[in-house]
Amino acid sequence: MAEFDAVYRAHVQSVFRFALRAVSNRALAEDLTAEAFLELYRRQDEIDVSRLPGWLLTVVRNKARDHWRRQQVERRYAEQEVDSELSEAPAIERWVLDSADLKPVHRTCLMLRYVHGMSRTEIAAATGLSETQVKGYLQYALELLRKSYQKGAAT
Amino acid sequence: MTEQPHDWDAREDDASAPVRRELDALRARHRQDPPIDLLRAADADALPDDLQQAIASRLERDRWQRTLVDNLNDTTPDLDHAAEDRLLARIHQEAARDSSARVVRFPVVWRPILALAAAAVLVTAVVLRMHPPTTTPEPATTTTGTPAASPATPSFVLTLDKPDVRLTANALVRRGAGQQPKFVDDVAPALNAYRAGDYQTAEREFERVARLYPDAIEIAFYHGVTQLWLNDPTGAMSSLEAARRLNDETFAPDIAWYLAVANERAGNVAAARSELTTLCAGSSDYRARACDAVARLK
Repeated sequence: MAEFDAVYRAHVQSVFRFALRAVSNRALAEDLTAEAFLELYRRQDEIDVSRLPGWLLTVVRNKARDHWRRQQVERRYAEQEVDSELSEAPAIERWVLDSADLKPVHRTCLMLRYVHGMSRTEIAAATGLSETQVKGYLQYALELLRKSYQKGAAT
Repeated sequence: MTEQPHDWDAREDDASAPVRRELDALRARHRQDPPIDLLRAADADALPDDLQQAIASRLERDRWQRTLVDNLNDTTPDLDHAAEDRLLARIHQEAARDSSARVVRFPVVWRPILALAAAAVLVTAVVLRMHPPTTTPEPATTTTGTPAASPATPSFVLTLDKPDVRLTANALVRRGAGQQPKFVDDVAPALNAYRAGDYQTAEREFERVARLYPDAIEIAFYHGVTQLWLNDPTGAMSSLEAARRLNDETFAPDIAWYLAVANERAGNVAAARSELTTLCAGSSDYRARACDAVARLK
């Protein structure tokens, strides 16, 4: 039991982070993490610790696939009518992606808020930032964009 | 992904005014992008095969989406200590439940007594078979009670209730293999037993008619619910998944709800939550219950 707890402590963060990437929902990611470790607990005599955390990640991945199958995402994606041809990026897109003045966190907040239409609360949930932090990063990023535009850099 | 956010504050409105047209164009350009949760899942190779291929390929070619996913991955939050401890406690609790659910082993001295008891039950069963009661058997449960076969189970967040029987329009014209359309007559014994709460009979009858009408969603769905009342969540999941594969929109929310119930009872909390999350985001009659349950599901 103590050995299992040590294994859990050693790998839980990487398994949870992977689960969160796989399902983008914190509560569900916790469930998947718990279920993967429970599976390990049940089979601890069979699973060599040298296979960790890969074995745990595979359990999470398979469960995440089941989740997406249940969500019937094929239909959801088909409804998006994705245009597979990508046209050349406009100047403002190149600025957002390449500007050395933007740190990744500013860039992410800016993309999610002003292009993908997320609320500050949604951005906070997706990034793990507080809403106050999101607000601050957005203000900074937008101000930078405005200044660059006025200088002609983003056009 | 909304086309035009409506929750910008005055400061955002002012600051974005000079670049409003460019931002609008950028938003329009990315309106058809795959949802961000799918992009992230594809990046983790966690989507079903066909979808994985399509979205991963998109992710590979589109620098905007690639950047977004990379940045989000870099900011993925950790579990805090409290959550880490809570999950470990939950794992131990589930593991303990596993071991207590295993077959109870009786000491050797009890075995003759148990053998005698088993023999007595057998004799009683034979006598009853030879002299069946003349009255209608008591239903296994009432519609609002707990299942007759229910052992002392742990309490569940999702309560099991009994959906009323309803038939699709197809039921009136449905044919079995090479048969006249008499579906309603064929399925009546199963549905009547289900309505009466005689789930053992209903289970047998649903098994029988399922072979005649493999495409009848009513059979697959009510069979699944019946199995839930018989404390067979695994069987229920199989029947309800079969019902889902028949793609009948009118039953879709019911199927999702009872799959959530079955999954919780089978210990698959993530799967239950996944069903509830979909229901909570939808507009069916289950929405409020699902939203409430998803918050309480541990």
